[in-house]
Amino acid sequence: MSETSLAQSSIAPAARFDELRDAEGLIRPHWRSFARTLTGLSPEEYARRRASAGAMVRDNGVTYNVYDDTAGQTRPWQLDIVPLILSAADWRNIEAAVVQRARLADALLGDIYGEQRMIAEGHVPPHLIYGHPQFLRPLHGTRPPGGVHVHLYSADLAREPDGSWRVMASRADAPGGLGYALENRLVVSQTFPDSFGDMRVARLASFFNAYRENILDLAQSRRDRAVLLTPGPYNESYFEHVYLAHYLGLTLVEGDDLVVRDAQVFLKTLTGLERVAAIFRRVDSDFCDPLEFRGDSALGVPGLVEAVRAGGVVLANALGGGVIESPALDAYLPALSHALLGEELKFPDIATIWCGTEWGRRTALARLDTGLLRDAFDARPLFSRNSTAKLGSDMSAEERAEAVARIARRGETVVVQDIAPLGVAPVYDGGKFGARPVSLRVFAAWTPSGWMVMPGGLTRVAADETVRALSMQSGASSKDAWVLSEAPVDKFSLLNNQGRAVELKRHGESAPSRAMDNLFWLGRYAERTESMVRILRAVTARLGEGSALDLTRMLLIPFSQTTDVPVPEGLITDEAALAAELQILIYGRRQSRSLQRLLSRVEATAWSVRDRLSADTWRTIHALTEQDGLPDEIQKLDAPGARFYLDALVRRGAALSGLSAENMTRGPNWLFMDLGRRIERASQLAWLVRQTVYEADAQENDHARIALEIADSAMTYRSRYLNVFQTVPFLDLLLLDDANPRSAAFQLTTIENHLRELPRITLAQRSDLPGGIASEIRALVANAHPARLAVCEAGVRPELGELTDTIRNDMGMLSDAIADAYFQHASRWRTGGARRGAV
Amino acid sequence: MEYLVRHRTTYRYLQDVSYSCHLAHLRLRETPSQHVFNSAVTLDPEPASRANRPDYFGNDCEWFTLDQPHALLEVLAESRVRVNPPQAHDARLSESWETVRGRLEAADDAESRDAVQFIFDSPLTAFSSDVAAYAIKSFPPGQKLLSGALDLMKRIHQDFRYDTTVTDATTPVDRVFEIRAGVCQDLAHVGIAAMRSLGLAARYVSGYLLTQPPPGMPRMLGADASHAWFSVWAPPLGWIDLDPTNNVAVGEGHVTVAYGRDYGDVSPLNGIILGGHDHVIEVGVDVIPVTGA
Repeated sequence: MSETSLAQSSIAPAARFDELRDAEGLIRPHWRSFARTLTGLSPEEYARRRASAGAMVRDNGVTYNVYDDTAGQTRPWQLDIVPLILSAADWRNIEAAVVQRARLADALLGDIYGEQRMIAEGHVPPHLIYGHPQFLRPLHGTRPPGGVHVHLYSADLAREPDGSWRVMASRADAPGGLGYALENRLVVSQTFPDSFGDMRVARLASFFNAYRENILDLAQSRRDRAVLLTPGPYNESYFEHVYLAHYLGLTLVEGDDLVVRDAQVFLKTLTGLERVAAIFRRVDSDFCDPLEFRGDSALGVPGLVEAVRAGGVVLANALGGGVIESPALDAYLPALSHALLGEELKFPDIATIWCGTEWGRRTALARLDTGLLRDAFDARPLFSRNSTAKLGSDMSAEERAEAVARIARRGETVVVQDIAPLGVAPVYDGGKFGARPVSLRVFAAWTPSGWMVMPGGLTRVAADETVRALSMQSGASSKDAWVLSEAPVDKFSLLNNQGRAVELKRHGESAPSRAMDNLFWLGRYAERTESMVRILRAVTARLGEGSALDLTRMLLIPFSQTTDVPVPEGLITDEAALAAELQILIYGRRQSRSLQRLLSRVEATAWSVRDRLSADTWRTIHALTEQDGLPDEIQKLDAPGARFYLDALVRRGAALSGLSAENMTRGPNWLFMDLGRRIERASQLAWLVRQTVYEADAQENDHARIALEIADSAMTYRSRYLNVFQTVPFLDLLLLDDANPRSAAFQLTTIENHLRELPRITLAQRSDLPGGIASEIRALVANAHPARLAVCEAGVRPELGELTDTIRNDMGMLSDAIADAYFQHASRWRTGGARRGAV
Repeated sequence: MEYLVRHRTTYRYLQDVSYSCHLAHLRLRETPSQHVFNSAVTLDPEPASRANRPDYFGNDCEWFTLDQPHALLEVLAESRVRVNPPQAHDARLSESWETVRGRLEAADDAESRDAVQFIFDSPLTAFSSDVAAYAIKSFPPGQKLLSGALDLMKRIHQDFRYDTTVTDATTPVDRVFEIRAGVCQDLAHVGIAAMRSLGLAARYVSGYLLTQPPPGMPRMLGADASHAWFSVWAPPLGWIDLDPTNNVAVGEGHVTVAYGRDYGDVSPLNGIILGGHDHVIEVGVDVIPVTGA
């Protein structure tokens, strides 16, 4: 699409409803108090509040992932601090209409997966159900617990020019946005605490409480687990899943964490399998069971549908809701509302023509030029990635001819929809009000006594005036929505649940095995990062001194040889070549050997266990892995700048290990993370000592000094031996002295203790293999003699070589043995039948 | 004609499988042209749990899990079935394809509503304009539906090479169309996609062929293994099964197991295993006429 056509498809502001001002240009009554507050702020004060809200969003790590970006980049959540304010009268309308929609959605799903009376009686063409890819046939005839299909429903609303509301889209499968709405509320209520208090803004907590409690009530047992099922860290809304799980007190799990046995769902934890009674589902239905639905899904749980049939688990929402999320169905909702509820729809949908009838095709062709063409079952947000929507006004003659042919031949697969103008809400900048198109996502939760609507919502703000600007992926922003009450507001809070005595605990619930695996690797990667940073810093610091090239051959090249594409050894013949390579190693984003790639692994691993890291820990990791403002890999190396950056990384790394040492309770989270760290450090130390002094030569004292520097033990050495440098005390300090937290012996003792601790936590009897390996290597090191290690034969130190190799090998074996004993990661495979006709 | 059908599938895993979960479409369904005396599935080792129920299309569907380590799984389906002699259909008695299209659009009786299930894209048979251009050649204006479908079957038989090496169980139809080759499953998918590109109803049928042909008759392709073909909705004649691999209307030698939108709905055996790494499959099918019946 060209820029000019974008401009043409924008809608004149005059034709829009203005939330702030009435037709005479006067500020509407329910906005007056807040408008006064805003205009009363000095520009500096407003800017300060905006900046501090932005900082809160960043520090809380509120992000929205965009699949298109490289390497799972996350994008900070965009929040405009001026809320959308809705009067109590407006809200009464919205509430009634959204409740009606939610009832309709639930009743319709009950019919579709049940007797299909709506099809048989002709209220809806069978095409719209049978043709929908989300009509999940294996679910037909399955009645969910309590007969409830929809536990959470969302509708995107927009204002007509006359102030009435219209439904743009709705969600009944796995509605998103609840967590973002909550986070927006937290930030904005703190940005305008006085207004928020004075204006009787309705509170959200009771809604979340009702949502959670009513689902738990449907479950067979409250003593079993309730989990939130996420597609995982690569999903665009992963932040929200972490946030909601925390807020609702649910265990965050991925499909791999669950297993079905005897038609019951279990969570794999360190202490064994634990029964799951309720699954708050954020994975789309068709991805939930690779056996019965999409075979290519790695996100689901094989057998989940069978467990659902057996009725042993509540899924919220029940599987299969996507079938009613289609633009084509919009055209039949008024009839369905009549048939199922006996009611007129309170809010209309976007005018939609389904092209599966003669009348539809004729009408659609007449409206094509001013409307948009879209796949009949495409429920993606308009103009988001992969959206099939196409503006009639944008089509070339050829595209139009193709569209006309498609309508004629396969009309049942397309709809033509009117382009709907959105109302505008105020933005505030430079002391002046502006206006931006907005839509409001409203949520409703099922309760046994009727639906409850969250008094607020997620307001989305278009990036500009064009019709395609509302997709979050195209850079739109968001707002909090304030619903004003006529009565005093209910200040119930979910975070400090007063009035109910809490049972004292000294530990959290048993952790999912996968989370422990990730924490283990977070420890290993963090430690590996520290080694790499220290080596890079040592080399960079010696540029221009002649020893940098020597150090490169001794440490840098061997270090990189564990990666796919190591440092090209033969090419680094002079310092200029080395400087270019250092630039890549420090700043390169693409090369597997680069520091940035290792940092990305730290970040990705941390992201997948975000629910287990404190806010401070997460911020520290964020600071450690931040890439903004770093130079490009093709720039010339600025050695002082690089040293400054590497120094900062050493400090941030230290902050991370300090935080985990001081702030994490000594439960499984800490134990596994620390095990990972210790195993990596023992292995790195053994390697470092071997690289520097295995060969006995004239420079070995210089090499050993560098090793002390890298192992951060130079101070300790000097305090003991002053400037007398000898190999024996060096080996003793870095390998054998278990009082030095930077020695191999210290790591091995800690590992052995940790492994003794583990069975207390995991209860179930596990393999003794890890403990056996750890004790053996610890004893070997304890019995080693420093002088014997230093003995040279033919220019090398054979005993030292043997000991360091054994330590490294054993650390590798230990890592595998721990994974086998505690993480139970059998990989999943799909088996097909033999092919038809393939003999 | 009466038959005994034995269909044995053996999975050999390279490492022990600790847990597995399977869906099977192996027991024969009743159809207007066949009567099933009995049909049973035997599993070795014994499953931890199993359940049997009809799927959405009325096919028999068996669900089972194994939770003890095993390196071998054997699934044996044994059935006894009578297939009636085929009815001779006069293609001229079927309605024109435009009329049928109109019926599918109006969908105002139970039979046409049910046929609507089979006019849309399914995972393995997505619409492409190439397939549509291929299909329309068999359906000039006013063409009787069954005449067009028979012509389409003949053309697929001529234009597509039977080749067991170029596709696998999940090859989508546009790829098959591109290479103009495949096995019976792929040719059936081509027929289905072609019919649906015109807004007509077509479904996938999985089944078997008589292993040894009657004396004097040529041995057909696709025997010794499970077979597949497609079925078109040709009112007022109903659903008519066509075998593009052998260019014949389905007859007394074809035993039906199940039908669905494409192979994915009725795959004979499907599973998710934990561990096991790689596996080899052996399949043996015998369709033996019962003499004296």
